[in-house]
Amino acid sequence: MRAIEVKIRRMMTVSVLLLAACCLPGAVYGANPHQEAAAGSSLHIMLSLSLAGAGGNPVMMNFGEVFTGGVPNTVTLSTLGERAAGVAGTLGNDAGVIVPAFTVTGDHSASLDIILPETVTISNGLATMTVAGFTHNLGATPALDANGNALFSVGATLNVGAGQPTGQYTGSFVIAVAYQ
Amino acid sequence: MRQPFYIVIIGILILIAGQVFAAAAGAAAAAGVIEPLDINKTADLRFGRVFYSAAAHTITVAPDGTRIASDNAILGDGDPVSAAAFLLHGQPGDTFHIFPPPKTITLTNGAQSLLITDFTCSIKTSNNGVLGSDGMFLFTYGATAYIDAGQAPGLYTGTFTIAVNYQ
Repeated sequence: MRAIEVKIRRMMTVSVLLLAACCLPGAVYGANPHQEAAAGSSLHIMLSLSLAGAGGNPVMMNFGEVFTGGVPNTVTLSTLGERAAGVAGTLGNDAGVIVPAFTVTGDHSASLDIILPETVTISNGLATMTVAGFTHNLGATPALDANGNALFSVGATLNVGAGQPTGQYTGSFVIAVAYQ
Repeated sequence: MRQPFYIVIIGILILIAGQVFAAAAGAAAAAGVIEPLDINKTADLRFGRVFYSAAAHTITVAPDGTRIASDNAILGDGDPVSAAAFLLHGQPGDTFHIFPPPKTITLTNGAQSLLITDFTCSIKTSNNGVLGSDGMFLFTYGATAYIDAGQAPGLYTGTFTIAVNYQ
């Protein structure tokens, strides 16, 4: 009988332990722990962009001399200032041929939008021609360099009409740059 | 003869223990009906772009995400602007409490820094709210950035933490 009593006490101890274990989940629910979340915060201070004519050259696009004829023609001026005519043999004197070049300063390595005109009309009295197909030489993803500088030039294509009146045609256009 | 008796006693004790366990487990199950409160950040506090200025200025992002600048600030586009947003999930209809961010946090850009302060919550009346019938609640935090005169250009970043629990 004494051995049995000892065993019973041991088993009661086990029962008490079980009861304590069962209470634990309730105690956890009652703790009402804080739940946390972290958020990031950011602010970007940027240098204002500046755009200026480069190298002291006049900010000018000059297609030089072109001969007119009985068919429409085009003269393409590359960003390097090289001319190419749609109709062979129609290019005249290239004195003064130039493309405009610009410097941009701003945030280092920042991506840029270079906003070029779609079409510009140049005129000589009542006669007009259009300049279109503007291009720049900063590639498809223009950006400032690590020092916050960029240099680019602009080319375009002149559309000469059939029987275009001779004379000096002039006009102006605006370009702009912006951060992407 | 002693061994069978001993087995009976053990059987009774096990039965008692089982009953106690069942009762306790039942109580725990009642408490477990409450959905644990869960919080997730769904948006960061983003002030976007501002241009360098020789004059001190401030930018405030309201809890609804609108951006307001002081007179000397020139805001820029291109970077997202948003209030910090947090989505709670828990027991539908239960009240929760928000432990707000610190009064001031610091954003850094290398060795440069600026202060963010005046945090404002979309729950305007108190730091308590009630979970919706779907157990969800979305709240947001805006704040004000203080930018010194001549503050160095660059991207300033930092973090802050908020906490919630059931009331």
